[in-house]
Amino acid sequence: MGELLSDDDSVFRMVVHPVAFKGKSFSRGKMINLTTLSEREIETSLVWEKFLASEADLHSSGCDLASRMNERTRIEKGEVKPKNRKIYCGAYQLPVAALGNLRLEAELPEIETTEVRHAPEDGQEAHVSLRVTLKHDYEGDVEGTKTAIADRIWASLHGPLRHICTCDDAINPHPSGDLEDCPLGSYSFPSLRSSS
Amino acid sequence: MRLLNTSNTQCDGIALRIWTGTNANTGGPLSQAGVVFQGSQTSHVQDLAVEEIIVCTAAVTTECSAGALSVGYQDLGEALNQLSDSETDDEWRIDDSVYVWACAMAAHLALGEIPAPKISSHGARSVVFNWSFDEKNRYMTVSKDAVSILVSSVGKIEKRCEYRISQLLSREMPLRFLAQASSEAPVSYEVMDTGVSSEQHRRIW
Repeated sequence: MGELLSDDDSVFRMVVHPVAFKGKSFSRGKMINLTTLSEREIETSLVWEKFLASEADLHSSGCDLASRMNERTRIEKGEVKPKNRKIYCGAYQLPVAALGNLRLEAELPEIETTEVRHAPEDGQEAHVSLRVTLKHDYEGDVEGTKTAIADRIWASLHGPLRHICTCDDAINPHPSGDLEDCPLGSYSFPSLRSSS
Repeated sequence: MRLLNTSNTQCDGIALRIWTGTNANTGGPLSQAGVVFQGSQTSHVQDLAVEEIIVCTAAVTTECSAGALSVGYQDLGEALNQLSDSETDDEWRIDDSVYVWACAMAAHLALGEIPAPKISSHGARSVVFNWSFDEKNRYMTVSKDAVSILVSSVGKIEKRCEYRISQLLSREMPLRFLAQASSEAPVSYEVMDTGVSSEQHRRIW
Protein backbone atom coordinates (compact mmCIF):
# COMPACT_ATOMS: atom_id res chain seq x y z
CA MET A 1 0.00 0.00 0.00
CA GLY A 2 1.35 3.38 -0.96
CA GLU A 3 1.73 6.39 1.26
CA LEU A 4 -1.38 8.39 2.17
CA LEU A 5 -1.20 12.03 1.12
CA SER A 6 -1.81 14.73 3.72
CA ASP A 7 -4.09 17.75 3.57
CA ASP A 8 -1.05 19.93 2.87
CA ASP A 9 -0.27 18.10 -0.37
CA SER A 10 -1.19 19.25 -3.84
CA VAL A 11 -2.26 17.11 -6.79
CA PHE A 12 -3.12 17.61 -10.46
CA ARG A 13 -5.73 16.17 -12.75
CA MET A 14 -4.44 15.85 -16.31
CA VAL A 15 -6.72 16.55 -19.26
CA VAL A 16 -6.65 14.43 -22.39
CA HIS A 17 -8.65 15.00 -25.56
CA PRO A 18 -11.09 13.49 -26.60
CA VAL A 19 -11.71 11.84 -23.22
CA ALA A 20 -12.64 15.12 -21.55
CA PHE A 21 -14.53 16.61 -24.49
CA LYS A 22 -17.78 16.06 -26.35
CA GLY A 23 -16.94 17.43 -29.77
CA LYS A 24 -15.45 20.85 -29.12
CA SER A 25 -17.24 21.13 -25.81
CA PHE A 26 -15.17 20.62 -22.66
CA SER A 27 -16.81 18.29 -20.13
CA ARG A 28 -15.98 18.82 -16.45
CA GLY A 29 -17.41 15.44 -15.46
CA LYS A 30 -15.47 13.52 -18.06
CA MET A 31 -12.31 15.44 -17.20
CA ILE A 32 -12.57 14.30 -13.57
CA ASN A 33 -13.62 10.85 -14.81
CA LEU A 34 -14.89 9.15 -11.66
CA THR A 35 -15.12 5.41 -12.20
CA THR A 36 -16.98 2.81 -10.17
CA LEU A 37 -14.72 0.17 -8.64
CA SER A 38 -17.56 -1.61 -6.86
CA GLU A 39 -21.07 -0.77 -5.70
CA ARG A 40 -19.64 1.46 -2.99
CA GLU A 41 -16.24 2.55 -4.28
CA ILE A 42 -15.49 5.41 -6.65
CA GLU A 43 -12.03 6.23 -7.96
CA THR A 44 -10.07 8.61 -10.14
CA SER A 45 -6.41 9.17 -10.97
CA LEU A 46 -4.34 12.19 -10.01
CA VAL A 47 -0.70 13.24 -10.08
CA TRP A 48 1.25 14.23 -6.95
CA GLU A 49 2.95 17.61 -7.21
CA LYS A 50 5.68 16.46 -4.82
CA PHE A 51 7.19 14.37 -7.61
CA LEU A 52 7.24 17.19 -10.14
CA ALA A 53 10.19 19.58 -10.18
CA SER A 54 8.51 22.12 -12.40
CA GLU A 55 5.52 22.83 -14.62
CA ALA A 56 7.60 21.47 -17.52
CA ASP A 57 7.86 18.19 -15.58
CA LEU A 58 4.10 18.09 -15.16
CA HIS A 59 3.49 18.58 -18.87
CA SER A 60 6.19 16.13 -19.86
CA SER A 61 4.38 13.56 -17.76
CA GLY A 62 1.08 14.49 -19.48
CA CYS A 63 2.55 14.12 -22.96
CA ASP A 64 3.91 10.71 -21.96
CA LEU A 65 0.47 9.72 -20.65
CA ALA A 66 -1.25 10.54 -23.96
CA SER A 67 1.49 8.75 -25.85
CA ARG A 68 1.04 5.60 -23.75
CA MET A 69 -2.74 5.71 -24.25
CA ASN A 70 -2.28 5.89 -28.03
CA GLU A 71 0.22 3.06 -27.96
CA ARG A 72 -2.18 0.91 -25.94
CA THR A 73 -4.96 1.53 -28.50
CA ARG A 74 -2.57 0.72 -31.35
CA ILE A 75 -1.72 -2.60 -29.73
CA GLU A 76 -5.33 -3.47 -28.87
CA LYS A 77 -7.07 -2.31 -32.06
CA GLY A 78 -4.27 -2.27 -34.62
CA GLU A 79 -4.61 1.46 -35.30
CA VAL A 80 -5.53 4.79 -33.74
CA LYS A 81 -8.30 6.54 -35.65
CA PRO A 82 -7.61 10.28 -35.97
CA LYS A 83 -10.77 11.20 -34.06
CA ASN A 84 -9.75 8.92 -31.18
CA ARG A 85 -6.11 10.02 -30.97
CA LYS A 86 -5.31 11.12 -27.44
CA ILE A 87 -3.98 14.67 -27.11
CA TYR A 88 -2.71 16.03 -23.80
CA CYS A 89 -4.15 19.50 -23.16
CA GLY A 90 -2.86 20.51 -19.71
CA ALA A 91 -3.81 20.02 -16.07
CA TYR A 92 -5.80 21.42 -13.17
CA GLN A 93 -4.42 21.74 -9.62
CA LEU A 94 -6.28 20.56 -6.53
CA PRO A 95 -5.36 20.77 -2.82
CA VAL A 96 -5.73 17.37 -1.14
CA ALA A 97 -7.52 19.07 1.76
CA ALA A 98 -10.48 19.68 -0.56
CA LEU A 99 -10.80 15.94 -1.14
CA GLY A 100 -10.75 15.23 2.59
CA ASN A 101 -13.50 17.78 3.02
CA LEU A 102 -15.82 15.79 0.77
CA ARG A 103 -16.59 13.58 3.76
CA LEU A 104 -17.64 16.65 5.76
CA GLU A 105 -19.98 17.99 3.07
CA ALA A 106 -23.49 18.11 4.55
CA GLU A 107 -25.09 17.30 1.21
CA LEU A 108 -22.90 14.23 0.68
CA PRO A 109 -23.88 12.19 3.75
CA GLU A 110 -23.38 8.92 1.88
CA ILE A 111 -19.58 9.28 1.91
CA GLU A 112 -17.89 7.05 4.47
CA THR A 113 -14.23 7.78 3.67
CA THR A 114 -12.02 9.52 1.15
CA GLU A 115 -8.46 8.42 0.65
CA VAL A 116 -5.71 9.85 -1.55
CA ARG A 117 -2.91 7.34 -1.81
CA HIS A 118 0.40 7.17 -3.71
CA ALA A 119 -0.01 4.46 -6.35
CA PRO A 120 2.71 4.49 -9.03
CA GLU A 121 1.56 2.83 -12.24
CA ASP A 122 2.66 2.49 -15.87
CA GLY A 123 6.04 3.89 -14.94
CA GLN A 124 4.43 7.08 -13.65
CA GLU A 125 5.99 7.57 -10.22
CA ALA A 126 3.81 10.61 -9.41
CA HIS A 127 0.49 8.77 -9.88
CA VAL A 128 -1.94 8.81 -6.95
CA SER A 129 -5.41 7.38 -6.55
CA LEU A 130 -8.43 9.13 -5.04
CA ARG A 131 -10.80 6.52 -3.64
CA VAL A 132 -14.20 7.43 -2.17
CA THR A 133 -16.04 4.76 -0.20
CA LEU A 134 -19.79 5.06 0.36
CA LYS A 135 -21.63 3.97 3.48
CA HIS A 136 -22.74 0.35 3.42
CA ASP A 137 -26.41 1.24 3.91
CA TYR A 138 -26.52 3.86 1.14
CA GLU A 139 -29.36 3.02 -1.23
CA GLY A 140 -29.25 6.03 -3.53
CA ASP A 141 -27.95 6.09 -7.08
CA VAL A 142 -24.14 6.05 -7.23
CA GLU A 143 -24.20 7.97 -10.51
CA GLY A 144 -25.83 10.91 -8.74
CA THR A 145 -23.16 10.74 -6.05
CA LYS A 146 -20.48 10.89 -8.73
CA THR A 147 -22.01 14.08 -10.11
CA ALA A 148 -22.01 15.66 -6.65
CA ILE A 149 -18.37 14.65 -6.03
CA ALA A 150 -17.30 15.91 -9.45
CA ASP A 151 -19.08 19.20 -8.77
CA ARG A 152 -17.23 19.67 -5.46
CA ILE A 153 -13.90 18.75 -7.05
CA TRP A 154 -14.51 21.24 -9.88
CA ALA A 155 -15.29 23.95 -7.30
CA SER A 156 -11.89 23.32 -5.64
CA LEU A 157 -9.70 23.30 -8.73
CA HIS A 158 -7.24 25.93 -9.93
CA GLY A 159 -6.20 26.36 -13.51
CA PRO A 160 -5.98 25.27 -16.18
CA LEU A 161 -2.27 25.03 -16.93
CA ARG A 162 -2.58 24.64 -20.71
CA HIS A 163 0.03 22.86 -22.80
CA ILE A 164 0.72 21.70 -26.35
CA CYS A 165 3.05 18.70 -26.66
CA THR A 166 5.74 18.88 -29.33
CA CYS A 167 4.15 15.96 -31.19
CA ASP A 168 0.89 17.95 -31.40
CA ASP A 169 2.39 21.21 -32.70
CA ALA A 170 0.61 20.87 -36.03
CA ILE A 171 -2.88 20.55 -34.54
CA ASN A 172 -4.74 23.77 -35.21
CA PRO A 173 -6.90 24.66 -33.39
CA HIS A 174 -5.48 22.72 -30.45
CA PRO A 175 -8.15 21.52 -27.98
CA SER A 176 -6.26 23.00 -25.03
CA GLY A 177 -7.87 26.29 -26.07
CA ASP A 178 -11.26 24.83 -25.10
CA LEU A 179 -10.38 24.10 -21.47
CA GLU A 180 -12.64 25.95 -19.04
CA ASP A 181 -11.27 28.38 -16.48
CA CYS A 182 -11.92 27.30 -12.90
CA PRO A 183 -14.00 29.42 -10.54
CA LEU A 184 -11.06 29.65 -8.10
CA GLY A 185 -8.73 31.06 -10.75
CA SER A 186 -5.30 30.19 -12.08
CA TYR A 187 -2.43 28.29 -10.49
CA SER A 188 1.23 29.17 -10.42
CA PHE A 189 3.67 26.33 -10.09
CA PRO A 190 6.24 26.93 -7.30
CA SER A 191 9.36 28.28 -8.99
CA LEU A 192 11.84 26.13 -7.11
CA ARG A 193 11.28 22.56 -6.06
CA SER A 194 13.40 19.49 -5.63
CA SER A 195 11.75 16.30 -6.74
CA SER A 196 11.65 13.37 -4.37
CA MET B 1 -48.71 -3.80 -29.21
CA ARG B 2 -51.15 -1.67 -27.26
CA LEU B 3 -50.94 2.12 -27.40
CA LEU B 4 -52.00 3.82 -24.24
CA ASN B 5 -50.85 7.33 -24.82
CA THR B 6 -49.38 9.08 -27.79
CA SER B 7 -48.59 12.62 -28.71
CA ASN B 8 -46.53 13.58 -31.66
CA THR B 9 -45.68 17.19 -32.11
CA GLN B 10 -42.76 18.92 -33.74
CA CYS B 11 -41.01 22.19 -33.46
CA ASP B 12 -38.70 23.88 -35.95
CA GLY B 13 -37.79 20.68 -37.64
CA ILE B 14 -37.07 18.54 -34.64
CA ALA B 15 -39.06 15.88 -32.89
CA LEU B 16 -37.81 13.96 -29.96
CA ARG B 17 -39.82 10.82 -29.57
CA ILE B 18 -39.70 8.43 -26.71
CA TRP B 19 -41.48 5.15 -26.57
CA THR B 20 -41.49 3.66 -23.14
CA GLY B 21 -43.39 0.62 -22.19
CA THR B 22 -44.06 -2.05 -19.71
CA ASN B 23 -44.09 -5.76 -20.11
CA ALA B 24 -47.74 -6.75 -20.03
CA ASN B 25 -46.89 -9.97 -18.26
CA THR B 26 -44.35 -8.87 -15.70
CA GLY B 27 -45.09 -5.17 -15.38
CA GLY B 28 -41.38 -4.45 -15.84
CA PRO B 29 -40.19 -1.56 -17.99
CA LEU B 30 -39.46 -2.08 -21.66
CA SER B 31 -38.40 0.67 -23.96
CA GLN B 32 -37.71 1.92 -27.39
CA ALA B 33 -36.48 5.40 -28.05
CA GLY B 34 -36.02 7.48 -31.11
CA VAL B 35 -34.75 10.91 -31.95
CA VAL B 36 -36.04 12.10 -35.29
CA PHE B 37 -34.81 15.19 -37.08
CA GLN B 38 -37.20 16.42 -39.67
CA GLY B 39 -35.49 17.59 -42.84
CA SER B 40 -32.23 15.78 -42.23
CA GLN B 41 -34.22 12.56 -42.00
CA THR B 42 -31.77 11.44 -39.37
CA SER B 43 -33.33 8.89 -37.15
CA HIS B 44 -32.06 6.47 -34.64
CA VAL B 45 -33.99 3.85 -32.83
CA GLN B 46 -32.80 1.66 -30.02
CA ASP B 47 -34.68 -1.55 -29.40
CA LEU B 48 -34.50 -2.68 -25.84
CA ALA B 49 -37.37 -5.09 -26.03
CA VAL B 50 -39.28 -6.99 -28.64
CA GLU B 51 -42.15 -7.89 -26.38
CA GLU B 52 -45.41 -6.09 -26.05
CA ILE B 53 -44.83 -2.38 -25.68
CA ILE B 54 -47.07 0.32 -24.40
CA VAL B 55 -46.14 3.43 -26.23
CA CYS B 56 -45.77 6.81 -24.67
CA THR B 57 -44.44 9.60 -26.84
CA ALA B 58 -42.97 12.76 -25.53
CA ALA B 59 -42.11 15.33 -28.15
CA VAL B 60 -41.11 18.91 -28.55
CA THR B 61 -44.27 20.98 -28.44
CA THR B 62 -45.47 23.38 -31.06
CA GLU B 63 -45.20 26.13 -28.46
CA CYS B 64 -41.43 26.01 -28.32
CA SER B 65 -40.92 28.54 -31.04
CA ALA B 66 -37.58 29.96 -29.91
CA GLY B 67 -34.98 29.11 -32.52
CA ALA B 68 -32.20 28.79 -29.98
CA LEU B 69 -34.18 26.25 -28.05
CA SER B 70 -34.80 24.00 -31.01
CA VAL B 71 -31.24 24.27 -32.28
CA GLY B 72 -29.93 23.44 -28.81
CA TYR B 73 -32.10 20.37 -28.52
CA GLN B 74 -31.22 19.23 -32.01
CA ASP B 75 -27.56 19.29 -30.95
CA LEU B 76 -28.45 17.46 -27.78
CA GLY B 77 -30.37 14.80 -29.66
CA GLU B 78 -27.47 14.27 -32.03
CA ALA B 79 -25.07 14.06 -29.09
CA LEU B 80 -27.24 11.42 -27.42
CA ASN B 81 -27.40 9.45 -30.65
CA GLN B 82 -23.62 9.54 -30.90
CA LEU B 83 -23.24 8.32 -27.32
CA SER B 84 -25.30 5.25 -28.08
CA ASP B 85 -23.56 4.56 -31.40
CA SER B 86 -21.43 1.43 -31.38
CA GLU B 87 -18.77 3.34 -33.34
CA THR B 88 -18.36 5.81 -30.49
CA ASP B 89 -15.11 5.75 -28.55
CA ASP B 90 -15.44 3.45 -25.53
CA GLU B 91 -14.78 6.40 -23.22
CA TRP B 92 -18.09 7.99 -24.18
CA ARG B 93 -20.42 5.14 -25.13
CA ILE B 94 -23.49 4.75 -22.90
CA ASP B 95 -25.69 1.75 -22.17
CA ASP B 96 -28.88 1.44 -24.20
CA SER B 97 -31.09 1.73 -21.11
CA VAL B 98 -29.35 4.98 -20.14
CA TYR B 99 -29.84 6.29 -23.68
CA VAL B 100 -33.58 5.65 -23.50
CA TRP B 101 -34.09 7.54 -20.27
CA ALA B 102 -31.72 10.33 -21.27
CA CYS B 103 -33.83 10.86 -24.41
CA ALA B 104 -36.98 10.83 -22.29
CA MET B 105 -35.55 13.50 -20.00
CA ALA B 106 -34.34 15.56 -22.96
CA ALA B 107 -37.81 15.49 -24.45
CA HIS B 108 -39.42 16.60 -21.22
CA LEU B 109 -36.86 19.34 -20.74
CA ALA B 110 -37.74 20.60 -24.19
CA LEU B 111 -41.42 20.35 -23.35
CA GLY B 112 -40.78 22.46 -20.28
CA GLU B 113 -38.96 25.03 -22.45
CA ILE B 114 -35.84 24.65 -20.34
CA PRO B 115 -32.75 25.83 -22.27
CA ALA B 116 -30.79 22.95 -23.75
CA PRO B 117 -28.14 21.67 -21.34
CA LYS B 118 -24.53 20.71 -21.87
CA ILE B 119 -23.97 16.99 -21.80
CA SER B 120 -21.49 14.85 -19.92
CA SER B 121 -21.27 11.39 -18.43
CA HIS B 122 -19.47 9.26 -15.88
CA GLY B 123 -19.07 6.38 -18.30
CA ALA B 124 -21.57 3.92 -19.70
CA ARG B 125 -23.94 4.03 -16.74
CA SER B 126 -25.16 7.62 -16.86
CA VAL B 127 -25.65 10.84 -18.76
CA VAL B 128 -25.32 14.18 -17.01
CA PHE B 129 -27.16 17.29 -18.21
CA ASN B 130 -25.65 20.53 -16.93
CA TRP B 131 -26.71 24.17 -16.88
CA SER B 132 -24.43 26.89 -15.54
CA PHE B 133 -25.81 30.38 -15.08
CA ASP B 134 -26.33 32.93 -12.30
CA GLU B 135 -23.16 31.54 -10.66
CA LYS B 136 -24.95 28.26 -10.04
CA ASN B 137 -24.56 24.83 -11.54
CA ARG B 138 -27.57 22.62 -12.09
CA TYR B 139 -27.21 18.95 -12.91
CA MET B 140 -29.58 16.21 -13.90
CA THR B 141 -27.90 12.80 -13.76
CA VAL B 142 -29.81 10.11 -15.63
CA SER B 143 -29.04 6.44 -15.05
CA LYS B 144 -31.10 3.35 -15.84
CA ASP B 145 -32.62 3.43 -12.36
CA ALA B 146 -32.83 7.05 -11.26
CA VAL B 147 -32.76 10.73 -12.07
CA SER B 148 -30.64 12.73 -9.61
CA ILE B 149 -30.92 16.49 -9.29
CA LEU B 150 -28.17 18.73 -7.93
CA VAL B 151 -27.97 22.52 -7.59
CA SER B 152 -24.68 24.01 -6.42
CA SER B 153 -22.68 27.20 -6.13
CA VAL B 154 -18.90 27.46 -5.80
CA GLY B 155 -19.18 27.41 -2.02
CA LYS B 156 -21.60 24.55 -1.45
CA ILE B 157 -24.13 22.06 -2.69
CA GLU B 158 -27.47 23.80 -2.32
CA LYS B 159 -29.97 21.08 -3.19
CA ARG B 160 -29.96 17.39 -4.00
CA CYS B 161 -32.81 14.99 -4.63
CA GLU B 162 -33.38 11.77 -6.45
CA TYR B 163 -36.30 10.22 -8.29
CA ARG B 164 -36.51 6.55 -9.11
CA ILE B 165 -37.36 5.93 -12.74
CA SER B 166 -40.37 3.92 -11.60
CA GLN B 167 -41.77 7.09 -10.03
CA LEU B 168 -41.46 9.00 -13.25
CA LEU B 169 -42.93 6.56 -15.71
CA SER B 170 -46.40 7.99 -15.62
CA ARG B 171 -45.92 11.32 -13.91
CA GLU B 172 -44.74 14.83 -14.52
CA MET B 173 -41.00 15.24 -14.73
CA PRO B 174 -39.00 17.19 -12.13
CA LEU B 175 -38.43 20.24 -14.26
CA ARG B 176 -39.70 23.06 -12.13
CA PHE B 177 -36.56 23.19 -10.01
CA LEU B 178 -34.61 24.33 -13.02
CA ALA B 179 -36.91 27.24 -13.65
CA GLN B 180 -37.14 28.19 -10.00
CA ALA B 181 -33.66 27.47 -8.74
CA SER B 182 -32.33 30.78 -9.98
CA SER B 183 -34.96 32.73 -8.08
CA GLU B 184 -34.83 33.62 -4.41
CA ALA B 185 -38.16 31.98 -3.71
CA PRO B 186 -37.95 28.61 -2.00
CA VAL B 187 -38.42 25.84 -4.46
CA SER B 188 -41.24 23.50 -3.67
CA TYR B 189 -42.53 20.88 -5.98
CA GLU B 190 -44.66 17.89 -5.34
CA VAL B 191 -44.69 14.68 -7.23
CA MET B 192 -47.07 11.79 -6.90
CA ASP B 193 -45.43 8.79 -5.35
CA THR B 194 -46.75 6.21 -7.74
CA GLY B 195 -45.27 3.42 -5.71
CA VAL B 196 -47.69 3.98 -2.83
CA SER B 197 -50.99 5.54 -3.73
CA SER B 198 -52.28 7.97 -6.30
CA GLU B 199 -53.51 10.17 -3.49
CA GLN B 200 -50.28 10.28 -1.58
CA HIS B 201 -47.88 13.08 -2.30
CA ARG B 202 -44.22 13.11 -1.52
CA ARG B 203 -42.53 16.43 -0.89
CA ILE B 204 -39.31 16.73 -2.78
CA TRP B 205 -37.74 19.86 -1.38
